[in-house]
Amino acid sequence: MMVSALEFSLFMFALGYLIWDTGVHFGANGGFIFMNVLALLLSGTYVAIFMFSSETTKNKILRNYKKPDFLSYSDYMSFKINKFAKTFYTENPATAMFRDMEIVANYISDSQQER
Amino acid sequence: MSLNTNNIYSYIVSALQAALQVAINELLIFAMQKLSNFERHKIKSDRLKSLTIKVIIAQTLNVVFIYGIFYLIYLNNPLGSSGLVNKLLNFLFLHCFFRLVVSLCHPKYILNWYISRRYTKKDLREPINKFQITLNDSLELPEFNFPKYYAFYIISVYVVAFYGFINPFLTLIPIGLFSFQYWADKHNLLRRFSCPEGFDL
Repeated sequence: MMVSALEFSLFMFALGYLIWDTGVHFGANGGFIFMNVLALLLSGTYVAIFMFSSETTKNKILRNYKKPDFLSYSDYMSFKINKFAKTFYTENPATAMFRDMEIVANYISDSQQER
Repeated sequence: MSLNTNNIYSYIVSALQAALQVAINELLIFAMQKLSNFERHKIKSDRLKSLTIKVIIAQTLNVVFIYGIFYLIYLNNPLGSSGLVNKLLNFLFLHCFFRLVVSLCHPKYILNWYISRRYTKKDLREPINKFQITLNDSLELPEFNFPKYYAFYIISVYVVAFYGFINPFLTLIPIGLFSFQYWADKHNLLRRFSCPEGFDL
Protein backbone atom coordinates (compact mmCIF):
# COMPACT_ATOMS: atom_id res chain seq x y z
CA MET A 1 0.00 0.00 0.00
CA MET A 2 2.90 2.33 0.75
CA VAL A 3 4.29 1.58 -2.71
CA SER A 4 0.91 2.32 -4.33
CA ALA A 5 0.63 5.62 -2.43
CA LEU A 6 4.13 6.59 -3.48
CA GLU A 7 3.36 5.63 -7.10
CA PHE A 8 0.45 8.07 -6.87
CA SER A 9 2.97 10.89 -6.33
CA LEU A 10 3.75 10.55 -10.06
CA PHE A 11 0.18 11.65 -10.79
CA MET A 12 0.51 14.52 -8.30
CA PHE A 13 3.72 15.58 -10.00
CA ALA A 14 2.04 15.70 -13.43
CA LEU A 15 -0.99 17.50 -11.97
CA GLY A 16 1.26 20.09 -10.33
CA TYR A 17 3.04 20.72 -13.63
CA LEU A 18 -0.27 21.19 -15.44
CA ILE A 19 -1.72 23.59 -12.87
CA TRP A 20 1.34 25.72 -12.06
CA ASP A 21 2.99 25.80 -15.47
CA THR A 22 0.80 28.54 -16.91
CA GLY A 23 1.10 30.61 -13.73
CA VAL A 24 4.89 30.53 -13.53
CA HIS A 25 6.03 29.98 -17.08
CA PHE A 26 4.89 33.15 -18.86
CA GLY A 27 5.96 31.95 -22.30
CA ALA A 28 3.84 28.79 -22.07
CA ASN A 29 2.07 28.15 -25.35
CA GLY A 30 -0.33 25.46 -26.52
CA GLY A 31 2.47 22.96 -27.06
CA PHE A 32 3.55 23.07 -23.42
CA ILE A 33 -0.04 22.67 -22.23
CA PHE A 34 -0.56 19.74 -24.61
CA MET A 35 2.58 18.04 -23.28
CA ASN A 36 1.46 18.57 -19.69
CA VAL A 37 -1.97 17.11 -20.44
CA LEU A 38 -0.32 14.16 -22.16
CA ALA A 39 1.94 13.62 -19.13
CA LEU A 40 -1.10 13.76 -16.86
CA LEU A 41 -2.97 11.20 -18.97
CA LEU A 42 0.03 8.87 -19.08
CA SER A 43 0.61 9.11 -15.34
CA GLY A 44 -3.12 8.62 -14.69
CA THR A 45 -3.13 5.49 -16.83
CA TYR A 46 -0.04 4.13 -15.10
CA VAL A 47 -1.44 4.82 -11.63
CA ALA A 48 -4.82 3.29 -12.57
CA ILE A 49 -3.11 0.13 -13.84
CA PHE A 50 -0.85 -0.06 -10.81
CA MET A 51 -3.52 0.59 -8.17
CA PHE A 52 -6.79 -0.78 -9.48
CA SER A 53 -6.03 -3.63 -11.90
CA SER A 54 -5.67 -7.27 -10.97
CA GLU A 55 -2.32 -8.94 -10.43
CA THR A 56 -2.50 -10.78 -13.79
CA THR A 57 -3.25 -7.62 -15.79
CA LYS A 58 -0.54 -5.76 -13.93
CA ASN A 59 1.98 -8.48 -14.78
CA LYS A 60 0.95 -8.46 -18.43
CA ILE A 61 1.15 -4.70 -18.89
CA LEU A 62 3.86 -3.54 -16.49
CA ARG A 63 5.87 -6.78 -16.35
CA ASN A 64 5.79 -6.33 -12.61
CA TYR A 65 6.36 -9.92 -11.59
CA LYS A 66 5.97 -10.46 -7.92
CA LYS A 67 9.00 -11.95 -6.26
CA PRO A 68 8.54 -14.64 -3.63
CA ASP A 69 8.19 -13.32 -0.11
CA PHE A 70 11.43 -13.78 1.76
CA LEU A 71 11.59 -13.84 5.48
CA SER A 72 14.22 -11.14 5.73
CA TYR A 73 16.55 -9.03 3.72
CA SER A 74 19.52 -11.26 4.53
CA ASP A 75 17.59 -14.30 3.20
CA TYR A 76 16.82 -12.39 0.03
CA MET A 77 20.43 -11.34 -0.41
CA SER A 78 21.72 -14.85 0.23
CA PHE A 79 19.30 -16.05 -2.46
CA LYS A 80 20.42 -13.32 -4.82
CA ILE A 81 24.13 -14.14 -4.46
CA ASN A 82 23.39 -17.88 -4.57
CA LYS A 83 24.58 -18.71 -1.08
CA PHE A 84 21.27 -19.92 0.22
CA ALA A 85 22.55 -23.35 1.21
CA LYS A 86 25.41 -21.83 3.18
CA THR A 87 23.08 -19.57 5.13
CA PHE A 88 20.48 -22.29 5.59
CA TYR A 89 22.83 -24.92 6.89
CA THR A 90 25.47 -22.92 8.73
CA GLU A 91 24.68 -19.28 9.49
CA ASN A 92 21.08 -19.42 10.54
CA PRO A 93 20.86 -21.20 13.92
CA ALA A 94 17.15 -21.95 13.45
CA THR A 95 17.76 -24.00 10.31
CA ALA A 96 21.29 -25.27 11.01
CA MET A 97 19.81 -28.21 12.93
CA PHE A 98 18.51 -29.67 9.67
CA ARG A 99 22.11 -30.23 8.62
CA ASP A 100 22.81 -32.10 11.85
CA MET A 101 19.65 -34.12 11.39
CA GLU A 102 20.74 -35.06 7.87
CA ILE A 103 24.16 -36.17 9.15
CA VAL A 104 22.53 -38.30 11.86
CA ALA A 105 20.07 -39.79 9.37
CA ASN A 106 22.88 -40.66 6.97
CA TYR A 107 24.89 -42.23 9.81
CA ILE A 108 21.90 -44.35 10.88
CA SER A 109 21.14 -45.49 7.37
CA ASP A 110 24.81 -46.34 6.75
CA SER A 111 25.08 -48.26 9.98
CA GLN A 112 21.92 -50.21 9.13
CA GLN A 113 23.30 -51.11 5.71
CA GLU A 114 26.51 -52.44 7.28
CA ARG A 115 24.54 -54.81 9.48
CA MET B 1 10.82 50.31 8.01
CA SER B 2 7.09 49.89 7.65
CA LEU B 3 7.69 47.50 4.75
CA ASN B 4 9.92 45.35 6.94
CA THR B 5 7.32 45.33 9.71
CA ASN B 6 4.69 44.27 7.19
CA ASN B 7 6.97 41.54 5.94
CA ILE B 8 7.57 40.23 9.44
CA TYR B 9 3.84 40.34 10.14
CA SER B 10 3.16 38.38 6.94
CA TYR B 11 5.78 35.79 7.86
CA ILE B 12 4.24 35.36 11.32
CA VAL B 13 0.76 34.99 9.82
CA SER B 14 1.91 32.35 7.35
CA ALA B 15 3.78 30.50 10.14
CA LEU B 16 0.62 30.57 12.30
CA GLN B 17 -1.38 29.25 9.36
CA ALA B 18 1.13 26.42 8.97
CA ALA B 19 0.86 25.66 12.71
CA LEU B 20 -2.93 25.55 12.35
CA GLN B 21 -2.60 23.10 9.46
CA VAL B 22 -0.35 20.84 11.55
CA ALA B 23 -2.83 21.00 14.45
CA ILE B 24 -5.71 20.11 12.11
CA ASN B 25 -3.65 17.16 10.82
CA GLU B 26 -3.29 15.88 14.39
CA LEU B 27 -7.02 16.28 14.96
CA LEU B 28 -7.72 14.41 11.72
CA ILE B 29 -5.56 11.48 12.86
CA PHE B 30 -7.42 11.38 16.18
CA ALA B 31 -10.83 11.54 14.44
CA MET B 32 -9.92 8.83 11.94
CA GLN B 33 -8.79 6.54 14.75
CA LYS B 34 -12.17 6.98 16.43
CA LEU B 35 -13.90 6.38 13.10
CA SER B 36 -11.92 3.19 12.52
CA ASN B 37 -13.01 1.86 15.91
CA PHE B 38 -16.61 1.94 14.69
CA GLU B 39 -15.76 -0.20 11.67
CA ARG B 40 -14.97 -3.20 13.87
CA HIS B 41 -12.38 -4.90 11.67
CA LYS B 42 -11.77 -8.56 12.30
CA ILE B 43 -7.98 -8.38 12.27
CA LYS B 44 -5.59 -5.65 13.29
CA SER B 45 -3.82 -5.36 9.94
CA ASP B 46 -7.16 -4.61 8.24
CA ARG B 47 -7.78 -1.80 10.70
CA LEU B 48 -4.30 -0.38 10.16
CA LYS B 49 -4.70 -0.51 6.38
CA SER B 50 -8.07 1.22 6.39
CA LEU B 51 -6.88 3.79 8.93
CA THR B 52 -3.79 4.60 6.87
CA ILE B 53 -5.86 5.12 3.70
CA LYS B 54 -8.31 7.35 5.55
CA VAL B 55 -5.58 9.46 7.15
CA ILE B 56 -3.75 9.88 3.84
CA ILE B 57 -6.91 10.98 1.99
CA ALA B 58 -7.99 13.39 4.74
CA GLN B 59 -4.55 14.96 5.09
CA THR B 60 -4.11 15.21 1.32
CA LEU B 61 -7.33 17.20 1.09
CA ASN B 62 -6.38 19.29 4.12
CA VAL B 63 -2.82 20.04 3.11
CA VAL B 64 -2.00 19.43 -0.52
CA PHE B 65 -5.01 20.93 -2.23
CA ILE B 66 -6.08 23.61 0.25
CA TYR B 67 -3.05 25.85 -0.43
CA GLY B 68 -3.60 25.66 -4.18
CA ILE B 69 -7.33 26.35 -3.85
CA PHE B 70 -6.76 29.42 -1.64
CA TYR B 71 -4.08 30.68 -4.00
CA LEU B 72 -6.30 30.31 -7.05
CA ILE B 73 -9.21 32.06 -5.27
CA TYR B 74 -7.16 34.96 -3.82
CA LEU B 75 -4.58 35.45 -6.54
CA ASN B 76 -1.50 37.30 -5.31
CA ASN B 77 2.22 37.34 -5.92
CA PRO B 78 3.43 33.79 -5.13
CA LEU B 79 6.92 35.09 -4.30
CA GLY B 80 5.69 37.75 -1.83
CA SER B 81 6.11 37.55 1.93
CA SER B 82 2.57 36.14 2.32
CA GLY B 83 2.72 34.32 -1.01
CA LEU B 84 2.34 30.65 -1.78
CA VAL B 85 6.06 29.86 -1.82
CA ASN B 86 6.66 31.24 1.67
CA LYS B 87 3.55 29.54 3.05
CA LEU B 88 4.60 26.18 1.64
CA LEU B 89 8.13 26.50 3.00
CA ASN B 90 6.75 27.35 6.43
CA PHE B 91 4.27 24.51 6.37
CA LEU B 92 6.68 21.82 5.21
CA PHE B 93 9.35 22.85 7.70
CA LEU B 94 6.86 22.93 10.60
CA HIS B 95 5.24 19.66 9.48
CA CYS B 96 8.56 17.79 9.38
CA PHE B 97 10.07 19.49 12.43
CA PHE B 98 6.98 18.94 14.61
CA ARG B 99 6.91 15.23 13.73
CA LEU B 100 10.62 14.92 14.50
CA VAL B 101 10.26 16.60 17.91
CA VAL B 102 7.19 14.55 18.82
CA SER B 103 8.84 11.29 17.80
CA LEU B 104 11.92 12.15 19.85
CA CYS B 105 10.08 13.30 22.98
CA HIS B 106 6.93 11.18 22.61
CA PRO B 107 4.90 12.67 25.48
CA LYS B 108 2.32 9.84 25.54
CA TYR B 109 5.04 7.21 25.88
CA ILE B 110 6.77 9.14 28.67
CA LEU B 111 3.46 9.61 30.53
CA ASN B 112 2.55 5.90 30.28
CA TRP B 113 6.08 4.90 31.28
CA TYR B 114 5.84 7.14 34.37
CA ILE B 115 2.43 5.70 35.34
CA SER B 116 3.54 2.09 34.85
CA ARG B 117 6.74 2.77 36.80
CA ARG B 118 4.71 4.19 39.67
CA TYR B 119 2.58 1.03 39.77
CA THR B 120 5.50 -1.35 39.58
CA LYS B 121 7.32 0.50 42.38
CA LYS B 122 4.24 0.47 44.56
CA ASP B 123 4.02 -2.11 47.32
CA LEU B 124 1.59 -4.60 45.81
CA ARG B 125 0.42 -5.88 49.19
CA GLU B 126 -1.90 -2.93 49.05
CA PRO B 127 -4.83 -3.58 46.70
CA ILE B 128 -5.02 -1.52 43.52
CA ASN B 129 -8.54 -0.25 43.21
CA LYS B 130 -8.91 -0.76 39.47
CA PHE B 131 -10.48 -3.23 37.08
CA GLN B 132 -8.03 -5.50 35.27
CA ILE B 133 -8.71 -3.90 31.86
CA THR B 134 -8.14 -0.39 33.20
CA LEU B 135 -5.00 -1.51 34.98
CA ASN B 136 -3.69 -3.15 31.78
CA ASP B 137 -4.33 0.09 29.91
CA SER B 138 -2.27 1.92 32.50
CA LEU B 139 0.55 -0.60 32.54
CA GLU B 140 0.88 -1.30 28.83
CA LEU B 141 2.92 1.15 26.85
CA PRO B 142 1.35 2.62 23.69
CA GLU B 143 2.02 0.85 20.41
CA PHE B 144 3.91 2.38 17.52
CA ASN B 145 1.43 4.36 15.44
CA PHE B 146 2.20 3.13 11.93
CA PRO B 147 -0.65 4.99 10.11
CA LYS B 148 0.50 8.32 11.51
CA TYR B 149 4.07 7.88 10.31
CA TYR B 150 3.11 6.37 6.93
CA ALA B 151 0.78 9.32 6.33
CA PHE B 152 3.48 11.77 7.39
CA TYR B 153 5.98 10.49 4.85
CA ILE B 154 3.45 10.21 2.03
CA ILE B 155 1.94 13.66 2.60
CA SER B 156 5.38 15.26 2.60
CA VAL B 157 6.19 13.54 -0.70
CA TYR B 158 2.85 14.67 -2.17
CA VAL B 159 3.46 18.29 -1.18
CA VAL B 160 6.91 18.21 -2.77
CA ALA B 161 5.59 16.50 -5.91
CA PHE B 162 2.64 18.87 -6.33
CA TYR B 163 4.34 22.19 -5.54
CA GLY B 164 7.91 21.30 -6.52
CA PHE B 165 7.48 23.03 -9.86
CA ILE B 166 6.93 26.47 -8.35
CA ASN B 167 9.34 26.02 -5.47
CA PRO B 168 12.21 23.55 -6.04
CA PHE B 169 13.71 24.39 -2.61
CA LEU B 170 10.85 22.45 -1.02
CA THR B 171 12.70 19.26 -1.87
CA LEU B 172 15.59 20.17 0.42
CA ILE B 173 13.49 20.23 3.61
CA PRO B 174 12.33 16.59 3.50
CA ILE B 175 15.80 15.46 2.37
CA GLY B 176 17.31 17.04 5.48
CA LEU B 177 14.65 16.22 8.04
CA PHE B 178 13.78 12.70 6.77
CA SER B 179 17.34 11.63 7.49
CA PHE B 180 16.92 12.68 11.15
CA GLN B 181 13.41 11.21 11.21
CA TYR B 182 14.82 7.86 10.06
CA TRP B 183 17.04 7.63 13.13
CA ALA B 184 14.24 8.82 15.43
CA ASP B 185 11.89 6.15 14.07
CA LYS B 186 14.57 3.50 14.34
CA HIS B 187 15.21 4.43 17.96
CA ASN B 188 11.47 4.41 18.73
CA LEU B 189 10.86 1.05 17.07
CA LEU B 190 13.87 -0.77 18.49
CA ARG B 191 14.28 0.83 21.91
CA ARG B 192 10.94 2.18 23.03
CA PHE B 193 8.21 0.06 21.46
CA SER B 194 9.75 -3.39 21.17
CA CYS B 195 11.26 -3.90 24.64
CA PRO B 196 8.99 -6.02 26.81
CA GLU B 197 8.60 -4.51 30.26
CA GLY B 198 8.90 -6.89 33.19
CA PHE B 199 5.90 -6.32 35.39
CA ASP B 200 6.38 -9.48 37.43
CA LEU B 201 7.89 -9.29 40.88
